Amino acid sequence: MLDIDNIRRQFPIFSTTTKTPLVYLDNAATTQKPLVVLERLQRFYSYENANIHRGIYQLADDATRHFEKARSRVAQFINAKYPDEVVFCSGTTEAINMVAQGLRKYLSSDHQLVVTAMEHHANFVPWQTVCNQTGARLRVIAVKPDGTLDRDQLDAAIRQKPAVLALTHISNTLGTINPVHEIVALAKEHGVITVVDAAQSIAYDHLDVKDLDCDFLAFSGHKAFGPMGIGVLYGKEEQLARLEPYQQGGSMIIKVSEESTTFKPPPHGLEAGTPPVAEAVALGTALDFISGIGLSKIKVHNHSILLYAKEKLSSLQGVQQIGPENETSSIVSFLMKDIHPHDVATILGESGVAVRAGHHCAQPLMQALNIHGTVRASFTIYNNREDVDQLIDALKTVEKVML
Amino acid sequence: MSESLKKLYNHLILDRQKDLSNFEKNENAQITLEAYNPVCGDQFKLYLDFDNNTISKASYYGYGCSLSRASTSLLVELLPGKSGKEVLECIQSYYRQLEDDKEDRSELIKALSMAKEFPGRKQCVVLSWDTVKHFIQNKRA
Ligand SMILES: Cc1ncc(COP(=O)(O)O)c(C=O)c1O
Repeated sequence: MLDIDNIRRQFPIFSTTTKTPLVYLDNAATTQKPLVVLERLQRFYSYENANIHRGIYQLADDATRHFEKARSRVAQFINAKYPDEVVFCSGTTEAINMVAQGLRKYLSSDHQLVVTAMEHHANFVPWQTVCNQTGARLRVIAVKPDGTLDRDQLDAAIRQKPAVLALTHISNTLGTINPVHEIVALAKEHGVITVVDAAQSIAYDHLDVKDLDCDFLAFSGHKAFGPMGIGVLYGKEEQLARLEPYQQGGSMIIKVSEESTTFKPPPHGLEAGTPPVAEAVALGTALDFISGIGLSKIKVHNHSILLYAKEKLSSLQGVQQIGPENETSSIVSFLMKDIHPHDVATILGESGVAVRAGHHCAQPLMQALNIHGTVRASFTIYNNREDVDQLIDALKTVEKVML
Repeated sequence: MSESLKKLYNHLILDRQKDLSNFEKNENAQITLEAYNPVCGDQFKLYLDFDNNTISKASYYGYGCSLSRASTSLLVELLPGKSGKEVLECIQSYYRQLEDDKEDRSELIKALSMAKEFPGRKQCVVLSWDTVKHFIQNKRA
């Protein structure tokens, strides 16, 4: 059994003495940071700070080594073949933009790109934009009323051999877990480039990119107990090499003359400018933190809290859970009678319960489900049953206030 | 329940958001405006008819939280009979009343003014008002 109290104590935010203790149920938006990660950031800036890949002195050399060690740590965590298949960037959003713009030169009106109606805007708008730029067509796969993908439609679309399939592993709104292994395998059979948005999976379940066999995969450090401002684009070596660098500048070049420039190969050729070095290093620490507890144990804990929350929510009259009944990550989305999600969230906030309300950056999904928004509670390793009980108590207050 | 929460979700706001007067589509309106907040998805159509330069009829339809509904309901109730200039004065006066508790103001506006004390909710009580303000300003410019 995990000692949740002990884990919770490692997160300074829960020890602050505010008027009401924090019940943090917005982990799908960002997780809190454990002390080891905060200390790692501070240690870098206090004692190790230098720009990387350029200084001919010990401090710079050490900083470069820390940064490259973090790259190896990420590669190991997702079981990439080589560290150089890991490109550091600012987050999932930048990673996906890097792929979409990096493939732009290969796209034309002869091509189709496939996304789903369940995508976060970060895995939707960059594809829509590159379609507008190149004349390629964007095909949006429907979501069924139960919050799962329309597999028939998706499989048929894949058989038409689109250029790219961009798909989220886990829906940030409903927690739906897509069978990415099966889908990627089918896409591979038809020669489709696959891009997996793993923003919600990185701290939820083991990711093994060799086994998954996708071409690209993106995630953000801040949703995995790491700092904001650092994220990862994984790409198979030969796929990264095809990407046109979407930003140019320092660090990513071999030779520059007035007439032309040669770029470094990936990953460095895709990392223009000074990267967030301390954040990358601290992301490595965050992944160590996760491995230290064990992702399997984290998953079991999160699932038990989710089931407890779902059971408690279904005992409340007028609460309607949105999304699949089974096969969800530690996210539950719901509506309360006809009360606007923001009214619910304001009243919960007054009780110290932090949830997300609104469209969750997934407007096409809201349109598909014909709703305006939801209230979303999302759980992780430091949440306990008391957090859920407080959520339920606060929801009872909502009823009292609003009805 | 906190005092500020009680003041915000005052019965006047809750009654107002359920009040259906002027909550109706008017596809034939001379002017249809859209008040939209991309953060929460609140979206109202505001229907305005003019007689010379005076608003003769106003109604609204759409989706929003209790605060945006109540404040929009108040807005369309106040608009008829006002010229462009008077509309702008009325909106400015509403904004002053939201900010300044020394202003002489109705209990409903007192309650709406509490929105600024809640994270992310200040926008709800000015959404439709801003939309009408921008429309009138552009029309006059
Ligand atoms: C599924 C999914 N994709 C993409 C993103 C975007 O991540 P970021 O804002 O860190 O770039 C998020 C974050 O909310 C997400 O949940």
